[in-house]
This record gives sequence, structure tokens and C-alpha cells, in this order.
Amino acid sequence: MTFVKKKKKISKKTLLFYCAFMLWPVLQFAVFYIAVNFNSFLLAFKKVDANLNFIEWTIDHFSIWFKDGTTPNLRLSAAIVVSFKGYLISTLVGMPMGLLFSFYIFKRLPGSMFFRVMLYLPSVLSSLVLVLIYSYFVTAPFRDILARLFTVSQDSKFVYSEVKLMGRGQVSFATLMFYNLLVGFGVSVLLYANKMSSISPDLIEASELDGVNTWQEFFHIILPEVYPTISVFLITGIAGIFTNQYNAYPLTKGSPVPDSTTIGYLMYDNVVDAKDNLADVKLAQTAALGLMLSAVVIPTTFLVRHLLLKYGPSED
Amino acid sequence: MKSVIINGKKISAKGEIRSKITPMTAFLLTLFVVYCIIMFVLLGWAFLSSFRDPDMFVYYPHVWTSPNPDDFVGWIGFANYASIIEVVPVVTNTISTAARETFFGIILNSALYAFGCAFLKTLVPCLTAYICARYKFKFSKIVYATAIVVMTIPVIGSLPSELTFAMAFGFYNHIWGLWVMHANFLGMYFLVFYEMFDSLPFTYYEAASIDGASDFQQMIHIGLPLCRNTFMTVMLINFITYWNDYQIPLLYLPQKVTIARYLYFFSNVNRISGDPAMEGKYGGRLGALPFQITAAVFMVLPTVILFCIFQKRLLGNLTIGGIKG
Repeated sequence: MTFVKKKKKISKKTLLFYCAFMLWPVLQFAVFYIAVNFNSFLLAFKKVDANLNFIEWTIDHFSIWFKDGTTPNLRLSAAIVVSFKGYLISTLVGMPMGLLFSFYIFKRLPGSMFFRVMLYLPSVLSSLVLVLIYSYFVTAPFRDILARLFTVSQDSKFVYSEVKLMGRGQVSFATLMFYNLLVGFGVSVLLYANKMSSISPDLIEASELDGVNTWQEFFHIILPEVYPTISVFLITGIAGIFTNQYNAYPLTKGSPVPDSTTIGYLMYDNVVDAKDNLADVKLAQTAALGLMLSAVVIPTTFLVRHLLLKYGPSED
Repeated sequence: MKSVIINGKKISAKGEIRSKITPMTAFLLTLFVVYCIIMFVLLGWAFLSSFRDPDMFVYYPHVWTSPNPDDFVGWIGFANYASIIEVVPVVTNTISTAARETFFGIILNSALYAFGCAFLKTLVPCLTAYICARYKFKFSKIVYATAIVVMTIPVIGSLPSELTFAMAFGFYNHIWGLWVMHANFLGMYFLVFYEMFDSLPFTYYEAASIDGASDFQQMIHIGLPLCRNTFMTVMLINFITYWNDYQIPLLYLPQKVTIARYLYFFSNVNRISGDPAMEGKYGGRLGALPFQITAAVFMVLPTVILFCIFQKRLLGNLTIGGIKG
């Protein structure tokens, strides 16, 4: 007995309907993704005069980032350090804390619903508003609190008036990261907690009958089950190294300082600076930097994905 | 109705299982309490500051009642709120000479920008996902694969090119231009909608087709009602994001001031200039925190109201996961 696969004929009306609804997304994608990125590629190599007339193809916009002592080189060197430090802190501190908070919410312990709302609240409020409150609070009342907590004498090494939480220096980066950790739990905790709630109650009950304690339950049952969500955050986090601004723009009021300027902030700041003059070389330099970073990020993302798949825990 | 204990677990009247407190969870509870105290202190202190006399705040920032009632008033009620509405035209004129907006003008700009972008940023992925899930043509598979690839492969630094395109196409400095630029199908929500439409049995469409329903009628009466709740949730999330966004308006709307951009500028301003009457009235006091916090309250009010009304929807069953396949 043979089966003949019948191919259903598509009516003209259906085809017209299909094309009509596909037209906009395809057109939008062609212009604002393909053409924009292709233009970005050309922009990185193109030298133009003040009237935007083409002069020549060049690699100067790339090489300027590596020339010792130039402003782009100095800014980029500092920004790379800040970006990587920021990524490490948010991955090594923010992510474990987010997972632990989600675990607490998942276990429906006292106040868990209230804490869930409180953790999500910063995602609803504008970063501008939170930054405004936070920056004032850490520069004025916080210093007063320090002064009252510590008796400051002339001989003391700790002089509270010298604490510059928002200025230049290492403390400024600490202030930036503390703020980001404080307000950054919302979406991740929500996603982790929702993923945890999909774990079979039988699995949890069986482990409890086996006598596992809370830590063992977290590390041996919960973490492997939540691993797919963790891996999504780790993979997207790679591109985040080069795009995250960590709210530094409003914190520094648009005037970047080396200790809190990430690569994402550096690129955005360049574009804002040059927006009134399209012939400004900063635009081409930013496009060139983006191209180089994409060349690093794309294979790294695939490598991280491969490693996470190969060495990560199995849900089975 | 009292709670009961089964197998060492406390089950509440609502049927929720609550676990016992252990040293680990006690530690987490402590962290939560500290977190909440920090947030309450920050937000509460800021909100109360919006009712304080800016003059007194300048001289006595940490004294809450006036030490000298003849010179200063400690609390001035909603006077700062009225002042903020009054200074908007002068401040927006300082941001851009072509943008002398009233308070309601900047609210309208924000509403148009946030609602328009949020609506289109939700509608386009929703409709595209429906078409891809409903009509399994080869091209649909290409569109689906494109969404996955764009999500997986990050391209960095296209902002300069995007800006030149916006200028070349006449989208620059127009709110509708930003609607067009943001009306794409890319992103996580395309996949959310796709999964939803894909789970609907094909027999529904076939039955409707036999009854004489056109493709459009099938979409309107069968497909789209299915995703009403998800559509509202995604649009709400997008609306909050665009309402709070100041970086895109700062770059693309030089002569249109949204409330987020206004607050960004206002939080950096110290003096009012360009209007002698206002200059005399407010002078250098505009940089005082009570004024800035008051402007911030205006900005967060709509999102906080939305959050209070739709809290369950926003904190609902949104999940991502899986790198396999």
C-alpha cells in the first residue's frame, strides 16, 4: 500500500493576505536592520569632508583606537576595564543573589510576595528618578551618617569629608555598581522564580523525603532545573559587556569620568556629541569600534553557548 | 480557617504550601529586610522632600522642621508641584529654542511617544508571529529563523548609522518617525506570541474556513482573541520602558521634549534664564532637590498607577529558558 502526499493548493486570496501582512515586517527589517548595519560597515571605512562628500576609503577609524596616547585609545582602555569589572560583579554577585532571592520567593516563605513586588519596583520607576534620589543621598545624607557613626579626629586616617562617592576614584565605581545591584534584581528574579515554579512538586517532595537540607535542595535540585534560564542570561550577558551602560549616563549627568565609563556609555556619548554634525569623525570611529566589537562578541557568544551546553548540568 | 501541617509543611487556608525557616532562609530574610529598608528610606525621603520649602532645604538640607519660622517654612504642601508646572515653558525653551512646551505639552509628547511605540512594538511581532504560525510556508520558516539568529548574534555599534538613516528618511525630530523605526518584529516577544499561536489546533481554522470565514476573519475571530492577555501584558511592559526612556528622545527628538528628557535636563539645571519674571521668582533655587524630586514624582506617577492596577499581570507567568534546539 502506498501513501501519496497531497500538497494543498494555496488560494490566491490566502497568498495575497499573507503577502500583505508580511510586507511591513520584511520592509522594516530590510531597512532598519540589514541596510542600517550595511551602512554602519561602510561608515566605518569611509572618510568624508565637512559637506559629507566622499574622500577615500580608510582604516584610520579603526587604528585610532589602538594608537597610544590618543583620546579614543585612553577612553577605550579605561572603558574596557570598567565594562569587564561590571560584568564580573553583576555575574558573580548579582546573579547568585538573584537566584537566592528567587529561591526564597519560590519557597513562599514569609513576606515573599511583598519582596517580589519590592524587587520589581525599580524596573517600573525611571532610572532617572532613582539615580536622582540615590546620587543625592550618597553625596549628602550618607556622608552625615558616616560622620555620626565614626568619631572623626584630626589624627584619624578616615576623614568622612574626603569620601567622594560620586567623583573620581575607585569609590565612584563602587557607588555605580552598588546602585546597579540594588535596582537590577527585578526582571531576573521574576524569570528565575517563574522558572522555579514550573519544577515538579513531586521532585521537591521526593528530595525532602530523602532528607536533603535547604542548601542541598538549592544546589542539587533547583539550580539544574533553572540552568536553561541562567544560560540565557550568561549568553546574552556577553554582548552586554560591550553595550551595558550600568546607568552611568544619568549618574555622571552625561559627563563621563574614566572610572565609571563603560564601552556602551562611551559609544552612546560619542553619538550624542556628534549628532548635530554628521561629518564628525566620532560617528565613523564609533561605527568602526562597533564593528570590531561585533567581530569579538559573535564568536565568543557561540563559544560560551557551546561550553554551557557541553559542560552545564543536565535537567535529566 | 486555620492552616494545617502535613509532612512538616504548613499549608495555609488558601492551599499554599509554606516551607519552614532554616538558617539559610533566615539569612535571606535578613537580606530582604535590609533591601526593603534601603528602598523605603530612599523613596520615602525623596517623596517627603517634594513637600519641603526649597529655600530651607538649601540652607538646612537635613533639618525637617524650620529652625527659624520667621525666615523659612518647613512644609509647603503642593506649592512645588504648582511651581514645576509654571516653569516648564521656560525650561523647555532652554533645552531647545524651538521647543517651548507647556506642562501638558510634554505629557502629551511622552504619551504619544510611549503609547505609539509600545503599541506598534507589540502589534507587529504579534501579527508577524500569527502569520508565521498559521501559514507554514518556507518564507515563514525563514522569518522565524531570522528572529532567532538576530536574537542570538549581537551586532554592536549601529547607532551612528541608525541616526544617519533617521535623518536621511525624514524620521529625525518626529515622534511618528520613532514609531516607524520601532515597529519591528524582532525580539523575545515574537517568540512568545509564536509559541502561543502555534499551540492552537489547525482544526479551528479549518472549521472556520468550511463555514466560509476569510483569512482575515479567521485572524480576527480565532487567532487574535487567543493572545489578548499576553498582548496587553507585553504592551504594558513596553509602555513603561518607553515612558521612562530618555536616551532615544535625547538623540532623535531635539525639538520635542518628553517628560523623561525634561527630567534629565531639569536634574542638571541650576538657574533659570531667558524669562526675567521667572528668573526673579526662582533664580538659582531651581537646582534645589525638592523641585527636582517634584518633577520626578510627575514622571513616575503614571507608571506607579499602572503597576498598582496591573501588578499581577506584570509579575505573571513570564518565562524564558532553553538554549537547546
